[in-house]
Amino acid sequence: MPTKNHNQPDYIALIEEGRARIDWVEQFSPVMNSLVANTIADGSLRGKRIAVVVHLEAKTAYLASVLADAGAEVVVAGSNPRTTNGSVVAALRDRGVTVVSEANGDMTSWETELLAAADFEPEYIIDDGAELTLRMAIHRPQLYAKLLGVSEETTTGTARLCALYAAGKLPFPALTANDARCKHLFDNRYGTGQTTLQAVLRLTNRQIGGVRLVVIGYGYVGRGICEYAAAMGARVGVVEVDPVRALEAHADGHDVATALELLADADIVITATGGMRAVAQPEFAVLRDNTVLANAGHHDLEIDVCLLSQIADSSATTKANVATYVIGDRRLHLLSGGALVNIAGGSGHPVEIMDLTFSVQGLGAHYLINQELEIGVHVLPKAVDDSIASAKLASLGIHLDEARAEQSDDISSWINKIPG
Amino acid sequence: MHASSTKDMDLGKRRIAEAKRLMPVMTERLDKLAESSTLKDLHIGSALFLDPKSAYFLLKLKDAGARITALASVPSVDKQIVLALSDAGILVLHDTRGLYTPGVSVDASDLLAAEPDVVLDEGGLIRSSLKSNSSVWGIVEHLSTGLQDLTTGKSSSAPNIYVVDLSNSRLMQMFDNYLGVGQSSVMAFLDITNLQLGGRSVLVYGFGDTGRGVAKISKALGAKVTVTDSNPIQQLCASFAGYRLASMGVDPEGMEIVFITCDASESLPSDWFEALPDSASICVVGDSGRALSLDQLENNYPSKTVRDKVRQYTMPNGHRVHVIGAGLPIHKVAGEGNPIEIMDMTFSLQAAALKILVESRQTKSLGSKRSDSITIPAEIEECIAKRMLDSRG
Repeated sequence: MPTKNHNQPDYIALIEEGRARIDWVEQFSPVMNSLVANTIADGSLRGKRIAVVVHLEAKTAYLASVLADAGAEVVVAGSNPRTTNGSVVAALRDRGVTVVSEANGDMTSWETELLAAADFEPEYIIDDGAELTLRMAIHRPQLYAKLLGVSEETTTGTARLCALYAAGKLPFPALTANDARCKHLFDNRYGTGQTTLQAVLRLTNRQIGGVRLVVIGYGYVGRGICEYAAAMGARVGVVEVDPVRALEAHADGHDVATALELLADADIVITATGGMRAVAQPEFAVLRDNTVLANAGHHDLEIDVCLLSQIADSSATTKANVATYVIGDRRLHLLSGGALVNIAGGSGHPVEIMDLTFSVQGLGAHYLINQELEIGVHVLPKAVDDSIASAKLASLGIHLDEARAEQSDDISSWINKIPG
Repeated sequence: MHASSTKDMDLGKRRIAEAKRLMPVMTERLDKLAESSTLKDLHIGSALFLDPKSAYFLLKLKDAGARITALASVPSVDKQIVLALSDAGILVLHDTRGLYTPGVSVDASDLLAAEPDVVLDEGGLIRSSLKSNSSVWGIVEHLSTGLQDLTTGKSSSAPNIYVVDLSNSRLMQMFDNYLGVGQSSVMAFLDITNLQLGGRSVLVYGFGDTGRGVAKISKALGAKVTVTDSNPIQQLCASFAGYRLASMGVDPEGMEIVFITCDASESLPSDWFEALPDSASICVVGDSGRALSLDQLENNYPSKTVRDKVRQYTMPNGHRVHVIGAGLPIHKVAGEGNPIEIMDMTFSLQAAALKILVESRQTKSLGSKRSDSITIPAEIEECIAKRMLDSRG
């Protein structure tokens, strides 16, 4: 545990660094600053215990601060031990928010942190990958039964909550922030797309023009990566099991084929399936010398890192976040240990993107608290989703037309002509 | 040596070894130079930006028989690399105090004091300090800014110097400047600021090779790009490439991110900065010499550092303007400079240039005027391009 003596110059400097990081986020978060802050200031959050379990860096810290400003009792934990920032933790604690996570943790300390967040007895969770929700269900069943609602960040977590509901083991209403259009249309596609390429290029110092880049999975994350990479000059190949998505990738101008066909001449491989073991035994077998492997999906095991370390003859860390595995005469370079490369190996999503995503989460928590919802997994109402986009547009000085009555389809006149 | 230093040195060596594996063209060229003993006992002074790639280049020059003294100029203090190079017998002159310490303790005169025969220069850094009694008889310059000074006669104190000019090289223009600096500058801006480019208004100030590169990558990432340049041909290029045009010197109203790719220190008055929107960012791209006058900003506006490598200036109207990387070339401030594949070509050119220098001196084929510089012959460029193609399969 780092020292928490506030009189120590090092610790004060750490707090100030964290505060400066959070201030930078505030400067580029017009929707959080206006719409969200105003909406949740109605008193309904006062005294509510909310756990925020998202990658713990400056943008998450700003969400926690805005919730705390509205009177909520907030406990914050990281959603991945590799992504917690020490200065941000210090700044949050200094302003009186409970933080149960420390920087530089491992999987063991992370499990302990999540249970500490559970023992805070949250009524609501803003979760990432349903990580805290699942642990409360298994390890703290009595507290799990008392949960009043969960708002979930990711595609993976949404699928997990739906599975819990289908199994009859979800005793509360959940909101899937991920299914709000202001989240997945921007966060998954543009946010992950831009920052994944940033992290891969920065960690490898490679040139993107002419590179053979293969993306596994053509959901919103895969699409964003492919769109930007192609525009920057990469030759993009897509591996996808869903025929409609595969056809979409083809029409978008990318090469579509099986993993084994595409991986044999790949320079860079990025996984974006949201599942596990997209790159495992058969895929490792065909990769050529010097291929870079990176993951943009929730699971640290989209690239089967355990298997990789078993089958490798040797491995070495070349520089921070780059490990080279030698298999025979081939060297495979794994970025950020297979964790989300844009967060573990970079600075996470762009601030403007997280302004939208956390607005969905902030207003989602407000909605969960103020509405009587049935048990199940719900989508944030369209009106709330729309209000976020409108606030962002207003901050940009962009105004929209309103549709005139004469512009709508004339189906009603047809219906009136139908006899009977 | 401390245990931590040993660890840093090992990491430095590993990073250099990684760069080596991705630079086959330069490796082959230097292996040939080693066989021919062309560089034997040549004392080379390097002002190159130090990273794993240039470190590997310097080590290969040493293997080819040269003696190396390297200047770690301000933005390039990379402890791991410095330790690895020193361990390999290369003298590195460096300021250990880091990037933003005012009053740099090493400069061109320190390198010249080591009395090198030839200099690998960056932007005329070394050449502009040459005295007539200098030991230096040859210079490789790969930036046009360095040569602008040369043609304005600043080198008159040292007339008998052979200069190889890489800035006219097509490989430099199309790859190093356009692809390399273009990509690495935009990505460095995003890494430093954690902002998004999609939907943002970007102003590219100057539409030379680096300007074209920055405009292309910004547009690829969704930015709305406006270009300004004083030359009508460049303006026309930008227009046909699908960018909006703005006249030079016109207020940058609404421009959220500005990439300055040319010497703009004289042409940007205070009014210009004050017309930027709130939270705008300014970055310098490439080694454009006096791209931006920081003194002008520091003297006129209240300022503070708000984030690592980000300094904020508050305009009289309350608008916050951020200068990224203290006005230094942004791709060298964050990350490891240009991409490896690009530098494989650039250092292959440098190696060719060194060979030309030595051979020119042997045959005394100095240009007729003192400002004449030697250009890399097209066949050497094509040879490098061909080897590059081979290495890419």
